[in-house]
Amino acid sequence: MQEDKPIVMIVDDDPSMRSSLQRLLLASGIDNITFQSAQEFLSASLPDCPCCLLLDIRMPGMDGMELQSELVKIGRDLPIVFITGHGDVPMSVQAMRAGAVNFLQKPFERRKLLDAIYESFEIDRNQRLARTRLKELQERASGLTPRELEIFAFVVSGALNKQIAYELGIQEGTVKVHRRQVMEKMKAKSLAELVKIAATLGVEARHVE
Amino acid sequence: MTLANDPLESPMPRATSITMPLAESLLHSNLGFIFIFDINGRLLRWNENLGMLLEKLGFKEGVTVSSLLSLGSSKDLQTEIFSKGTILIEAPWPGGGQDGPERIVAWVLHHILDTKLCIGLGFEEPRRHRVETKLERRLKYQNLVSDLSVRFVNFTAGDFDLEIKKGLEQVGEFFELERCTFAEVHREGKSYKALHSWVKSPLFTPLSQGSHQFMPMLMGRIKGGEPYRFSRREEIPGNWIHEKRFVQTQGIQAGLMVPLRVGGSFLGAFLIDFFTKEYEWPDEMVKELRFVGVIFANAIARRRADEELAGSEKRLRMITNALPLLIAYVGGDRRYRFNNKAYEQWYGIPAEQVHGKTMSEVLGTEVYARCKPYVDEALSGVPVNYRLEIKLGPDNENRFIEARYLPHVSPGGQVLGFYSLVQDVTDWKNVEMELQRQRDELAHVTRVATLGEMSASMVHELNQPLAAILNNAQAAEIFLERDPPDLKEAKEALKDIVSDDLRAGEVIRRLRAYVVKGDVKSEPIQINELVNDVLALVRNDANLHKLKISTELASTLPEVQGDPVQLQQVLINLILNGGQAMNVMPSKGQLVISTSLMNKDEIKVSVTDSGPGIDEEFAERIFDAFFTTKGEGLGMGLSICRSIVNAHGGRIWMESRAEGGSIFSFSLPIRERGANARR
Repeated sequence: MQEDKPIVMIVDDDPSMRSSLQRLLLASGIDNITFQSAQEFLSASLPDCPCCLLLDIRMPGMDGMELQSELVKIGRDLPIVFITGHGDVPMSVQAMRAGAVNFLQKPFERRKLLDAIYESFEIDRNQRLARTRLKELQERASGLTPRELEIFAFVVSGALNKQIAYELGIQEGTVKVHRRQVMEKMKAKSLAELVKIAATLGVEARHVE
Repeated sequence: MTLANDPLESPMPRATSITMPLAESLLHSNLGFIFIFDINGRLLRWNENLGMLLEKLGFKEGVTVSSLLSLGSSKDLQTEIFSKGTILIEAPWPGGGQDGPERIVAWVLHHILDTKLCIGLGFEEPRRHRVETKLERRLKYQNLVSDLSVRFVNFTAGDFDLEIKKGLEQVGEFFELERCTFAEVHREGKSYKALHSWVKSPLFTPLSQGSHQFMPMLMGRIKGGEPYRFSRREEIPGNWIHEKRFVQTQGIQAGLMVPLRVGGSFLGAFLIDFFTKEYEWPDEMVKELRFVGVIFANAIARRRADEELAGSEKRLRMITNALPLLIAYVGGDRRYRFNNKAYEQWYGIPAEQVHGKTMSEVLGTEVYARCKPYVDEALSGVPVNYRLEIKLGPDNENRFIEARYLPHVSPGGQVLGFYSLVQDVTDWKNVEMELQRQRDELAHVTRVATLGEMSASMVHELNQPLAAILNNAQAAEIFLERDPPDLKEAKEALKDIVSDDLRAGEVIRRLRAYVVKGDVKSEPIQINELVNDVLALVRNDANLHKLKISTELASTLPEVQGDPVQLQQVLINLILNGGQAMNVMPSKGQLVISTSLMNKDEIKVSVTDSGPGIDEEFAERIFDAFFTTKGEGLGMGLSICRSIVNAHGGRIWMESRAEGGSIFSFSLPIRERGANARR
């Protein structure tokens, strides 16, 4: 998989905070884009590379937490590092529950900032990988016939061919053929791997009676 | 006998030849007085008229022409008669004119033909006599009137008694009275008292001063203005019991009472009595006495007015002296024309000596120099109020005075002077200052408390530049560690550090200015600038609370005067209150801060929220101390707002909006140009 250079997206209404963060990140060799409001961020088209959001929790208009929930709503799964002030603990807890990665209380050291950013990049990288794999599996699964999908669901529940054949009222041999097809199409080398794939794809196992 | 019919036309009777027979027959006629006398002037025979007169006068036998005619000697007279034949003599009424000064007899003395005897014919010469004496008398009367007038015009209150006495004497002598009493009447005749009583001679008793015989009928009779007279006692009506008794005990034969009235008021009366005779009061005399009476009455009226004036001035003086204020009237020449006793205590100058002195002499040049601008203003016709701190009294204590000058303007618009009221307000001032100190203390405490409410916003305000500084510093570090060091970028970072540091400093300065417990200032304030400063303080807090604050500021507003920090506090309180009010609303609203010119003297600052509004029942109490509808807080916020605004000479109030929410407004007086602090 091709690995692009990660980017930090900074959203802060305070111009001097924005420019100082930009400068520090650039000095640290981290690419970044700045936005002066949540709205501006939402309306921008974002690069397809590992990234994270460095977000001021307090802003006029839409604030950091509102942006977070908006992103969840539209399915943009992005690691967020919140920049918080003193006394924002209750909000931080709420943000954490909503999936924030980290918090930096102003003023903060560069090391902490970079750690948080790298951690976020790692998360994003993993998420991106997971997303890529899921996409691949979904593509594989889309090659399955309905009967094969049915057999797939029984197989991952650990049912024997005989049981499946009985359940579906077909020949055991036919089940065996389908099973081989599923394993091939899903590129699963073992039953254990197939179970993992089913879990990733969210295929629900069907148990025989 | 052909004496002139008109004495003015033919003053001299024509001489005729009288023979003895004619003389004899004349003796039998009763025309005038006729007598025959011998060469020695002794009267030999006379007619009946003369006989009666002689009897009345008590002349005995041997009466002579010279005694009858009141002449010195008869010798020259005889010679003259015999040489001229006829002479004419005017002489007073025989007996010395006791029957009245007006009566004069013209005597014609004639030599009887062919005898050594003479005949005398005497006729009263009324017409000729009256005209002449009348003219003379008129003149004398006019002199009397002018004398009395002058006397009573010039008298001062103290001379009144003496002048009345002298005037009465003049009247008595002029009218040849026996007793003339001047009585002052009170309560329209219900009471009276004799002020002076003149008598012609010590034989008569003056009516004792202050006596007030009860004479109801008489007073009732004359109070309307008409005199009452009786020529003899019998004329007094029978039911005038008190009057009759008075006349009897006094031995009065004839009386005249002339009421003295001025301007419809019955002020006094002349009581004129004759003891020796009954008397027919001539109308002319009554008329003249009434006229003289008017002069006397005016004198009383004047004295009463003077007394009243003196009384009212005395009362005024007593009142003004009792007041712990300096009260004075200062003329256009800046000299004291009136002053109360307080000046004595204040300036150590006897109160009566202040009168006529200039302000600068009394106040001292130093104090006067400070008062002078206000004096100038008062003398230009403008009422002035001012306060001043001066050194006063023996200890040269610092005292606060409050002065008020009210110009005295003539109907023509000319400023004649001004009334000055000056009060020592040191004690009040001290109380006021203590109150002010407590209020400032409280304002400070509540300000610090407000700060707590805003602390999150404050920390954010400070954290922001601090965080940016740290970022830039760390970036600079990296740039400098590079090989070669990236000096350009490092410099950029440092530049930003400087500006952020300044920004942090500004935040701290603003906070410090707001919280610091310094002296309360009084300086010119542009209210719009103040609003913007406040917005800078609360904006972050507002952001945090999702509060939209907008402003509607009048473009040009005059300055107000006061303490900027305290006024900021008022506005912050109102904004925080409004914000909290709206916090309870599901959809958060907008706070509008507006400034406007309310009228020509005041500007208005309003904070309008769209919260739930305030219950009518609380509206009255909302500015009271310890009143709160909030769960937290002391309830001091609006109370301290009110006391701050009041101390600035303005007021604060709350209105409910029809569409929900409230408007809190306060007014502030526009700063007078060049004015001193109001506080």
